[in-house]
Amino acid sequence: MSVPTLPDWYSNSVPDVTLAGSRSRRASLPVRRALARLAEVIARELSTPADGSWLARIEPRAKIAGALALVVSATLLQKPWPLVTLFALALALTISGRLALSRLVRVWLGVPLFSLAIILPATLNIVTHGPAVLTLWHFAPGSEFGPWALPEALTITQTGLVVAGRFMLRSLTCVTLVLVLVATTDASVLLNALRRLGMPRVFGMVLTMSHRYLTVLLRAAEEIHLAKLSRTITAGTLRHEQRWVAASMGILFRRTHQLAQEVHEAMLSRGYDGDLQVKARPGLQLLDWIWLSAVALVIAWLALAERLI
Amino acid sequence: MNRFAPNQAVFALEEVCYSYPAGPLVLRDINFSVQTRECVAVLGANASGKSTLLHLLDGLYFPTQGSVAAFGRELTEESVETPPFSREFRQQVGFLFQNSDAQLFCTTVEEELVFGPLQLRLPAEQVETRVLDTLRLFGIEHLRERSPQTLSGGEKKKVALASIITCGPRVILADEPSAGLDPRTQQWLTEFVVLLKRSGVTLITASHDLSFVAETADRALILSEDHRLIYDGPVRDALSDLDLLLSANLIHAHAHLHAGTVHVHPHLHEAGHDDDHGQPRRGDFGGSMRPRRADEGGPHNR
Repeated sequence: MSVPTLPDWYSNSVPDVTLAGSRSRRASLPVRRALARLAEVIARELSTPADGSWLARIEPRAKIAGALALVVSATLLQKPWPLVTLFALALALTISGRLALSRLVRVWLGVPLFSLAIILPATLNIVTHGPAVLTLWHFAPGSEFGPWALPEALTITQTGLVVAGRFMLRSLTCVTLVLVLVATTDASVLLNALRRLGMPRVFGMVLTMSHRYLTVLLRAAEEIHLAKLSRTITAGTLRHEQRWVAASMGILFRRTHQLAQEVHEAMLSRGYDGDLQVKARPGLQLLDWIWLSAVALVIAWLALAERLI
Repeated sequence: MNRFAPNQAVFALEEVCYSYPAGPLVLRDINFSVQTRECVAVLGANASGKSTLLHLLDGLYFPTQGSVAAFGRELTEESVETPPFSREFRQQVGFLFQNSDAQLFCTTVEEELVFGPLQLRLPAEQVETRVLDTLRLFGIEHLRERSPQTLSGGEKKKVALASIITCGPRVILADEPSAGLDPRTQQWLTEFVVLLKRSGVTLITASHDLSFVAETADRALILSEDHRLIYDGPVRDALSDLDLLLSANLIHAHAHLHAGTVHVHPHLHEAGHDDDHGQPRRGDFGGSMRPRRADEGGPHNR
């Protein structure tokens, strides 16, 4: 049997290493930064909440019931002052729950993305009539849009701005309340509490598995990126990097599918039957009753204020 | 408490064939049974079907043909999902996956250890006792609050095994348990498996590591590269049958230079060979560790 030998192009290759910086290397930085940032955000969001705050000590079912009651109240309030009061209360909960203000601001920044697209048309006189604040466009007299006759001008109305402002405030209040709930409760405990409150088993299962797989997905993405970096001598252009990211999504899908399957098998193997069991907490304690009573009082006051103010 | 009959075979496989969807057969006509307290090693080359076989034994996959029975009851999708058998089966049989990253999916080590007993609906006090005892047994109390993702490979393997032990299984299936471990963790693992064996736990291990198998198993099942069971007998006999090991691709016919000539002979992973190739011997493997020149002979051990 002959002993294998390395090909000449390999054994006679001369290392060509330069320590000088490369300008093209900078092209990969946005991709690297985006992945690193994504990893950081997901790791932080999935981390176990700090147990230090009084909100973290409330029984999850009581916390969910209270938070949901406040969210429903926020959607029903029409007058501005009760809504502002509820928003202030949500802010106070955030601060007393020891949540980082930066985290809250990040969540708030996402609110306009979703709500502005919905509410912007409501500020216009063609949707909400009222005194004009700003004229955007003048139509020719007698203009029509399909079966509808157009007004003389397209304006932003005062009433429309009030409607939009109320909608935004309502959205911010609801998002803040949900953040308080999510950030002070461990995800698995929260899902289990939702199950106990009657959420269908299949939803609970899908949410539980999604929560588990997020970390799996993140790890696989990091591995693919690192494997590519280790073989990159000079990075391509930004366009090339973007193309690579798009192509690697397919690979990522296959890998995560395989790993997710293994995670599911590992869960089944240890007795998971679709109904996730978590550490039992004692029944409702004094703090839970205080929380529920306080929520009931706040809702009663808001209802009264809505009538009187 | 073992609620299954003690004199029953733990596993019994009859004419088992398995293929992945739209794929070729990865197991062909497999027949064997495993009795309580047996320590069995499943040996075979890469892709011979070892991992698939363990998945079948754990009721995660189901045979395309034939049947797999555990504790006298056939493992089907229905039976492993129907209580009380499903719960008792999961409590009795633990599976150590090859990929610890897939096995460790909780946010802390403590959650990992608690996961199994909670899913098996054990009482809270019992769960707490088991977790504390297991942390102490594995010497991983200091890792209790750590995220499994931040652990080293050896620590991950320990936590993965600990997460199974808290369920209290009397049967453990281990897929390549010693793969990728440093020598100290490998030694620890070997000693722990021997401890389990002495405690009467039934062990079924899939491995390439012949030295690990020699120390931990009594019986070997060897799968050929065409996915058939070609040997079922004592480990010692299997490890001394070089033709068998060569045919199953468990050892390799290794070509190397000795005193200027190319020499080919089988290599066992657990022991050297006696042929000194006409060169003076330089002592055994435990002796001098100075680098050996390519043209030097002497004992081999890989």
